[in-house]
Amino acid sequence: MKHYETLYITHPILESGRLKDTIMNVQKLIETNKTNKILCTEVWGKKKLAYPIEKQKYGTYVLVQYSGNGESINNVNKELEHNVNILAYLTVEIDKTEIHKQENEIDDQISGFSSDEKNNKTNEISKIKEKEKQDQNNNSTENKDETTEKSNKETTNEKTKADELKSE
Amino acid sequence: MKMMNNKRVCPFKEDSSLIKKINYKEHKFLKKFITEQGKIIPGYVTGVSAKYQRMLTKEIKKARNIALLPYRVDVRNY
Repeated sequence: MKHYETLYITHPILESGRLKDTIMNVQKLIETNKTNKILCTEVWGKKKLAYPIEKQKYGTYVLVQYSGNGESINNVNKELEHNVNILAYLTVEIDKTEIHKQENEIDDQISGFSSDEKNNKTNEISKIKEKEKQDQNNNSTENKDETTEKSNKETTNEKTKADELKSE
Repeated sequence: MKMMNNKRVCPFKEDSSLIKKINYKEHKFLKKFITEQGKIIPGYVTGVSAKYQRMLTKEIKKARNIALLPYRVDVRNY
């Protein structure tokens, strides 16, 4: 069993509904071989291409990671080549450690680009609140901390002294 | 002695956490190792050791294939 990932660029005209269709089509295509298992799909969003492909300057990047025995990869690549909606693709074998975790569902990822800013704002607010809470907790426990720190320092000093003696 | 001072140290041997970043998906990091025109900078200029330069060139070429990095940039157009 090996792990693979395919990064492909879809046509910039595709909007949320049709984009999802093409993504699902590619997933089905990969899963036609029963040994293949899809581990993760990530939509990177619309990006400017480094050079125009089929006269398009922009494209939506999608990353699919899957595991399988590699028999069907030639077929998958052929189908991607003939798909009109896909400008370019790249299939690479990857290490186990490089596998991403599926964090959001595809729908959220596609619709998320417009609402990303909102989410970030809410996250920031919640983070600030958490920090405030932590500060309050810290204030109450500061006195305890000081005493524990002192004792820690003493023990570390003793240790270092002992080490020095040993080395000598 | 001057030569000794000017000798560059491989960035990947100084900081081993950078080795993870040699990946075609990290095109912003790989951009450091190409010129304005899009050419790959040779290892003797950047100080990258041969081992990591080999990895870099492979990943840069992958990134070019999928349009994350340019094959060439015509500077005259700017």
